[in-house]
Amino acid sequence: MNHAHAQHHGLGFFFGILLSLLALTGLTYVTARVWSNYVPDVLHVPLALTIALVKAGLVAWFFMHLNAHAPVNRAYFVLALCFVALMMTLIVGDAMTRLPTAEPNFPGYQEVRGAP
Amino acid sequence: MASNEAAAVELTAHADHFVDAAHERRAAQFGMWLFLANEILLFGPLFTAFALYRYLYRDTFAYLSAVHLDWKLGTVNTVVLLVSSFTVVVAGWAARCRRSIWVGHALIATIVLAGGFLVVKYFEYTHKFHEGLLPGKYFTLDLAHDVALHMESLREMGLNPAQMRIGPGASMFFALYFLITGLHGLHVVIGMGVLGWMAVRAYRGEFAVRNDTPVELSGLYWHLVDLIWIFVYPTLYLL
Repeated sequence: MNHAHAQHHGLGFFFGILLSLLALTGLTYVTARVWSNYVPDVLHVPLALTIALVKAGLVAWFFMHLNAHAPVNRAYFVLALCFVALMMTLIVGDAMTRLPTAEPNFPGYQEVRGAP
Repeated sequence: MASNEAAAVELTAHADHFVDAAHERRAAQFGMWLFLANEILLFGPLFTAFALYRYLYRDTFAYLSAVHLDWKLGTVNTVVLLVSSFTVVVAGWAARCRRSIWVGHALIATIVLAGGFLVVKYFEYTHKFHEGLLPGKYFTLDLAHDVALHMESLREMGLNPAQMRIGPGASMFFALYFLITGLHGLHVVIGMGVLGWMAVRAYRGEFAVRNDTPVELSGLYWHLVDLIWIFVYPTLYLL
């Protein structure tokens, strides 16, 4: 609501946020591909999503001035994310508790399996 | 050149049904956030579908992402969009300082970066069309042959194809790839149009004499485009 608050930050501050975003992009890449063997398999997805959420938070909070906007605007944004999270959890959770991952059923499968 | 008095009138101008200019601005911001929340709900189901099929066809998705999506291009586009988000912040800052020409310059920089993003996407898309990496019945890649071709690079990535169930769900991966990146690309094009319109208004000197709400709101739209890509990048290109 208080717009003057956003003006306290100069361009240098926003440039710092940009550098953090670029560094986090590098971190996502490195943990997913370069050091992937040091990260347990179960942690790959949560780690990448956590980094993405932190990046999204930086963009929303500072670049989009959510820190200076009315609380109700924050509520809408967070609520929309919660609804997506709810939908995803229920649908994927349902699949994970009932269905196995796909069984091979394409013609070339045996060939691939038999390859050295 | 507008006199200071005229400028002051412009800055406090507001529609009759608002108490004052600040009230109008808050209403505009509120409306924009409502719209952005809807945009999140538009992309949400696509990411949900991706999460579901990635669970069902885990190995195929991992294989196609590692071998047929170019992480270098994905990373370049991530950097391009992050920098373009920053140039939009610069435009908003210039608008608050009433430096209309600089608003225009910053927006042109943003549009150039957005153009760069689309050029990279164009190369990615044509490459996939060429290889037959398309949704549904248009998926024409011979997967078994393809896996044999990429045996070396798979081992380098620490993947053992002999232990992977590659095959089912391949066309689904590209259906979701084109849906998510296509809808996102459409947003990039629309964003370029909106920011272009703002740049024209900025070069006319409009933001030297009126409030910066239009620049701020179109900037919010552009940030959302960046925000969505922040999730597209790891889910499609890395995981």
